[in-house]
Amino acid sequence: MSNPRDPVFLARRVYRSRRLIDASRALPFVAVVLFLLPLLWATGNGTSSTAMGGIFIFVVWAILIAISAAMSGPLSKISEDPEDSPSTEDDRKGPS
Amino acid sequence: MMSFNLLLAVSLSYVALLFLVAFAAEKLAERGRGGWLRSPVVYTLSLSVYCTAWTFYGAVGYAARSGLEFVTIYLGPTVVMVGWWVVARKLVRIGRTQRITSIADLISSRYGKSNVLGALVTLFAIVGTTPYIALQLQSVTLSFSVFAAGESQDLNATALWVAVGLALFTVIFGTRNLDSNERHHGVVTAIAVEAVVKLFALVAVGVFVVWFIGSGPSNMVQIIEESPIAIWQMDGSRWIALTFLSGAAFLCLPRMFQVIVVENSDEAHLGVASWAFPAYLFLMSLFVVPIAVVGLSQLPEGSNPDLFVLTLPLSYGNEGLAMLAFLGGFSSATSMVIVAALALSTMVSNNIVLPFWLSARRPGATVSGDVRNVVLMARRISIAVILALGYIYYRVSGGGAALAAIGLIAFAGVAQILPAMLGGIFWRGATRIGASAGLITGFAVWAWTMFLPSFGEGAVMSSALLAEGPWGIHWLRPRALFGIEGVDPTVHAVFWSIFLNSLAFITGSLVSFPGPLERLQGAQFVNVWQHSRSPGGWTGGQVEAEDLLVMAQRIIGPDEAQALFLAAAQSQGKSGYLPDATPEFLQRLEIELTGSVGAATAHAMLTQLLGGTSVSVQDLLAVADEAQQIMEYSNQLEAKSEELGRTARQLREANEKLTTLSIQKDAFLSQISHELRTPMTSIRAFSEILMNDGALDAEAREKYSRIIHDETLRLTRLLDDLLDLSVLENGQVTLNVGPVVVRDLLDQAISATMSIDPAHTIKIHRRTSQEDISVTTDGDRLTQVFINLISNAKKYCDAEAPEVTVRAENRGDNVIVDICDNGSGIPSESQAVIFEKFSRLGESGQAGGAGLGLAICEEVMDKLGGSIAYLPGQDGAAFRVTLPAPAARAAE
Repeated sequence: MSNPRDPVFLARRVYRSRRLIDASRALPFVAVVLFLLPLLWATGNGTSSTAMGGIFIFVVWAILIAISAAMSGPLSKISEDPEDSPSTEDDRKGPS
Repeated sequence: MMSFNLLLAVSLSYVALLFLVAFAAEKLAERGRGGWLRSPVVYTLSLSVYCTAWTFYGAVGYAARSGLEFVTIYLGPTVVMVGWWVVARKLVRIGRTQRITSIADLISSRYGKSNVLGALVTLFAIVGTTPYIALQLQSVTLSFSVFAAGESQDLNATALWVAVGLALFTVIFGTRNLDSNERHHGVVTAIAVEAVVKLFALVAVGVFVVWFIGSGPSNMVQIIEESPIAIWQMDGSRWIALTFLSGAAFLCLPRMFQVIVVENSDEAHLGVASWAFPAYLFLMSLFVVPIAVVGLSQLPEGSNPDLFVLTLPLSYGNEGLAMLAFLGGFSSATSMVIVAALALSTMVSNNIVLPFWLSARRPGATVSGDVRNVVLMARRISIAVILALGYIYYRVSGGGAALAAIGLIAFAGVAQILPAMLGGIFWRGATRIGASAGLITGFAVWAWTMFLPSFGEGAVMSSALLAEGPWGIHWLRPRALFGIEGVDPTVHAVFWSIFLNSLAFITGSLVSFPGPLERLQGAQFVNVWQHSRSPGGWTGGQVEAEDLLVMAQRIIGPDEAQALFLAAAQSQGKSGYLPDATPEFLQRLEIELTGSVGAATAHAMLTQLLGGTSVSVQDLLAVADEAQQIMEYSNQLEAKSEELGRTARQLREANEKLTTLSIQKDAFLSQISHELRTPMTSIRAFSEILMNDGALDAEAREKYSRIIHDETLRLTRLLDDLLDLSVLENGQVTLNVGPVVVRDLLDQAISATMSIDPAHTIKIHRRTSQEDISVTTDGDRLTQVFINLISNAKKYCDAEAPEVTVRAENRGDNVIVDICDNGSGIPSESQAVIFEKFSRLGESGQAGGAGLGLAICEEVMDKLGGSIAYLPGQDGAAFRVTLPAPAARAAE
């Protein structure tokens, strides 16, 4: 929903922080997909290895932790700064 | 083998250390120097109450039985924490703005501060948590039993003492004070220490297994490949269901809600925890599979895999490590029990005990007695009762079931709160009816398909019931609802309970209508980012601030209450402790009270004092959507500018009218001076001649005198007419209304006009038979009109043989009289002005009139309720006089 009060062009900083929030919203979905990925090969035939599966899970896990750690700092700053908090961007949806 | 007594001594000193830590933390916080107690690290560590003894011991057992599946229990929380921006952050913000004290309080507050919902959630939470507490007691006694092998110790007594110790700890540090923030520095710090201990212990055992027994990671892979769980036989449905379940439980478990939301002091901590807590879980589960496979290969057949963490170091003679592992398991169990008991006791006191206590009092009476004592006592007793329930469950169940099963059952139970919770914070349309329907449906299905069968065949449900369904109804079989068989029981129960729960929740919400308070709260929860400052909810003002202070002191304590009132009074610009009971202040006070006794109770208490409703239409409008507010505002602006435009137009019109009137007045003045001046001039001139010229003959003198006389008459007539007109226009005329016959009036008028100038003959055409119309009006005035019209016809008719035709007619609701002559009539461009004052056609003075006659006629007819109009299209000048018929007049 476009809000007439929103400026058409945003300062680079605000633009970046909004994309960061988009990323933070997408991350859990990426995480779910990655964690469910073994469903593609580990069900049924009985040839997949626990060791390799475990390594896959833990590598994905570590990557998620790293990404989340990289994003959490800037995100917390956005959350604390109500002035240009774009957090309300999507929360400004109309009554549901 | 180390002695049981040594173990007991170590455990007791560990417990003493925890007491000390908690005590020191409380002291530090009291002196305001506990800033570091509220660091992101402590927050993250406190989240580790998620990792209970089930995790510490049970995960290894789980892995030994089903391989990698154990990891789903950690993947769910990882997804939730990684997605903290979406859900957890909103929960924390809502918790802070609304001073939520528990998950039951959240649900109750969201759905219109409903007592029923709060009590419902509390009840379900107790049912779901009691087996879990039993599980912790069981794990502690099991771990004791490992060390007590060979010595005859009463394990039940151990469990009892552990329960008593935990109750003591929770009572001391969980119910020390009734903080309106509901934060427990001592408890949180102690569980942070325990979090470190259990992580350190598990990692130490893991390192020991990988590097000392397994000689390195690459070799470890080899051992896994050769183990009984080498093949990953994944059950896809279980994988999905358990990941979902653990994520749901992470948010809905009362103890998790307590540490994530209630104990949170800074939203930024959540950001750190978003990666630090998954990292914690990562480390907790990293060594689970290695420990499991090494245990399976090294320990004798038939060893309990749930205890590998303890038995592996013991079997290698590493008693120190075993002791550490024991303390880790002990920490896991105790921290869970402490926080769960704390959270549940808050729920019980705020959502069950206090509402009952309040409703047992006389309605309308103000709160008396120290409410704080009631609340604290309720919580202490609740803690004792909850732990007693856990112990009883442990004794009754016999501690036989595999640990993981109880954990999953508890998870599935509390996950039933998820739809109502998520719906509550993301969907404004969610209603109390919907939430109740969803919760009850979900718990019923959960109990039927998971909880009751878990007691084993024949315990609660007979094997016949399990196989055939109740009363032989096949599709109600607890493990094959709707006849769908062959599904894993856990997946079956989770799917049906959550699905039917959500279905009931959504359907109930769609068909029901929320009350005002519900809608208000719904808007505040869903739009928490816009409404960080909540709008006033109270319309009171009838209440004395002193009563409020008395009540607040009894709930949040005298010092806090006085500080709150003082600050409020100062912000209102008043001195002293008693602020005005403005809606803002009442709202603030309610939120402060909510922090102590829960939303529903705080609301009920204020309602008792204030009486009446708390939500006004204005409040609802105030929380209406922001966009709507903007729209409203611009609508208002638009309306205002429209109104301004309208006013400007009206002003312009009025101005034009005034200008016209002013012009008319000027014209009137110049006209009247002209009218007065003309006769005056001739009067003066002729009187001067009479005065100065003494040689005038009698004939001339008479002629001049006659002129003077005529002009004087004309002046008098003019002034009479003017007077007449002004009287008529000012409405000061008194009408002499009575029944008259039109014929008589016309007779009078004609004879009057004839008598004025008998020389000036005019032929009058009448049809007297039609003139026999009776009207109720002022006959003299109407005659005046007729005289005017007939004399006008006489004066102005330019025909050779002037004739006047008079027609009278009764047309039902009107009586009309037409008076026409046979002249050339009035040119159409002049017809509009003939009724204006001083309007005369042709040369002035031709007939000596002042041009007021028709104006007077119009005024008269107006006063008589009729009208006079020029009637075009006749042979000559024609005027139509319209009078209301007697019947129509009577009906007026």
